[in-house]
Amino acid sequence: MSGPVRKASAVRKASAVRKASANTLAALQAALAAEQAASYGYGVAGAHLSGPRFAAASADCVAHERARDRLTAMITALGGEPRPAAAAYRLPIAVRTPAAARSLAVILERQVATAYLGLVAVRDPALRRIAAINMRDCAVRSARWSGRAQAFPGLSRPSM
Amino acid sequence: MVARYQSAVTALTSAGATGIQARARAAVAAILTEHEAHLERLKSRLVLPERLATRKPRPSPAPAPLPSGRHAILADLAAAETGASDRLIGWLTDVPPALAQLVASIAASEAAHVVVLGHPGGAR
Repeated sequence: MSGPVRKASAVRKASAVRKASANTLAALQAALAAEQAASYGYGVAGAHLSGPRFAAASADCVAHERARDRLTAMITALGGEPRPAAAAYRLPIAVRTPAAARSLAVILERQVATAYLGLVAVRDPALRRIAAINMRDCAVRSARWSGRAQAFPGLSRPSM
Repeated sequence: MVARYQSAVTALTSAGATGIQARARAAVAAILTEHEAHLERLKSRLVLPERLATRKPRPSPAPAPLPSGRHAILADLAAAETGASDRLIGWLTDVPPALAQLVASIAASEAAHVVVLGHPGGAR
């Protein structure tokens, strides 16, 4: 291979690596944003629940906060800057009753599952696996709140 | 999974129609529908060479016989779902990105089925 050809190949390779890295960071940021919104949403849902349902909402909130913190660390490790959470979020439904709080929990879980889809498609096998496990956790929590499963969590439009 | 669930629906139908039995049967039938959807979606993504695509598909192996009794049947299905979900997540690294998303989604669905089988017809 001649010098200029080798150089062009190296430039293309470096560009591909940068693009893959940018895609991974974008997927991590999308998952982080969803986890931040879910952490906020569970705070609202929990305020309308009591007893075992309040305990369940608290536990699920902690799970999302931990996922949020792990994603923050991953983004930093890749040289990115984690986007901060908003001060408040517009909720997908008005929450004034325990039933609405449970519905909100279902919607939040489905939205977070969808947000992990991008990360499932990145090249890094470890990140793919983490994303898939987080999607699975969301589907399990959603089923606990709704009593129903979905055929294609994350892929189907988040809805009730 | 489809064959296993078909057997389970038959077994739960013949076992009676009390409230809890009927709820279990309805839950299992709903999950069967989702497994059929998984199968269809996966088949639609398979690209086979022409010589294989025109060949008659081999019949699937018969599933292991189900245990008797509602509790045992639901526990057997839950164990099968857990195993299938874990296997799919294990395959994730070997498939192209678009298929990885489908595989991850099906793995998540199978894990959610375990919740439904544990509490047929119930939510928090």
